[in-house]
Amino acid sequence: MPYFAIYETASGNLISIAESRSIDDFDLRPTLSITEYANRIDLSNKMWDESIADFINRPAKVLSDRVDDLLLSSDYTLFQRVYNSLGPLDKQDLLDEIAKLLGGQRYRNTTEGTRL
Amino acid sequence: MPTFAAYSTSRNETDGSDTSASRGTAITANASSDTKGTYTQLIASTPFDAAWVWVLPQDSDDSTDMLLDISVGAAASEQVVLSNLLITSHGQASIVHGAQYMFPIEIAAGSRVSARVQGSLGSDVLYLSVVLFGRGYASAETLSIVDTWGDDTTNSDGTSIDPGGTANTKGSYVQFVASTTRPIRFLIIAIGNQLNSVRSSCNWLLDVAVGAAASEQIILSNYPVNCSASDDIVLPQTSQLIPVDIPAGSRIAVRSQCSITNATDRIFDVVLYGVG
Repeated sequence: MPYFAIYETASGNLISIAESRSIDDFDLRPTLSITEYANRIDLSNKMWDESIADFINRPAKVLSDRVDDLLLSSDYTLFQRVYNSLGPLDKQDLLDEIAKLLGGQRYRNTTEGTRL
Repeated sequence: MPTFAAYSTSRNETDGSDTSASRGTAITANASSDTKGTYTQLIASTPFDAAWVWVLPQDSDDSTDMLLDISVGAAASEQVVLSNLLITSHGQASIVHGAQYMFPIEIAAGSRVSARVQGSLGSDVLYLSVVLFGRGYASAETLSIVDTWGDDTTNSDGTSIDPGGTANTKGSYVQFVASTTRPIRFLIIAIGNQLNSVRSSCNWLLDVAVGAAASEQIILSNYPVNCSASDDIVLPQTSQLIPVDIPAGSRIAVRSQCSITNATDRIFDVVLYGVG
């Protein structure tokens, strides 16, 4: 089933995504434009780009690893001194234990701080 | 005297409770993801004519989005009365954040009530009980049919709403139904989290509108939704029962605005349930 994106011609601003179009509703409004798509647009992986008045792929989520924070952030210099004093096997074991402890909180948005 | 006392003719009954485990009845999804499992009976025969159904899910075993059907009828002849109730998850732990649904629909005495579920992971388990309320409670009119709009059974979730790339500015409308088949008296809004386990703190305001594309008229404005980076889930998961007056043949669409513009954290899912 075709889908229609209705947007402001001048700005590219998307107004509505519709399953059907009506000549009366749309064509009498000269400030609007319509683009037809063969299938429904899934906004979980597509997003509207006003500059080209079309859908583009939604960028992948970018995350930071809190285990890396411990090794690299200036918030954790004491940890880094202790970590660097360990042998290679102990280093990996320690990081594995920390990852287990963090569980679902291991990853953070890049905009969040390095402290939980 | 309490003002909420039930009338003398009222009754209620909770079905599906498993008192040996302090939870509801286990409803197991199909081993294949996004596929409905088999029905599990909640009650063999309802003892009275019910006028309200309160659906009470508890934590699932895995971090999935789920769509739940409540049905009446004999085994192998079940008829779905509540279709694809969204039970969302933040994708990293087995917690249902208070998703509850209350519908003013009738279920005749003597009915067998059962449930089935699908999950974004196969074999997920939802624990479920329901409360049936008889006639006699101070109530809105009792209705009979619940329509579900925006559910996506291919992913066990809902329809994505994108507030767009400008903060605190309404995004575009997304159509949920082209033409309602009956007058709608109540609406429930369910919010899905898209299994986004690392969310940003932000707030949304959501509009529900009727009318042709580019000519929508808002019938519910600025319904507030929010998310904390600590909880990683968009809340509230379900709305209260919202009185509306939507004629048959109406197109319904939803849009939102958000306090952030992050391309993945500004979006969430919506499913609408219309009672008519």
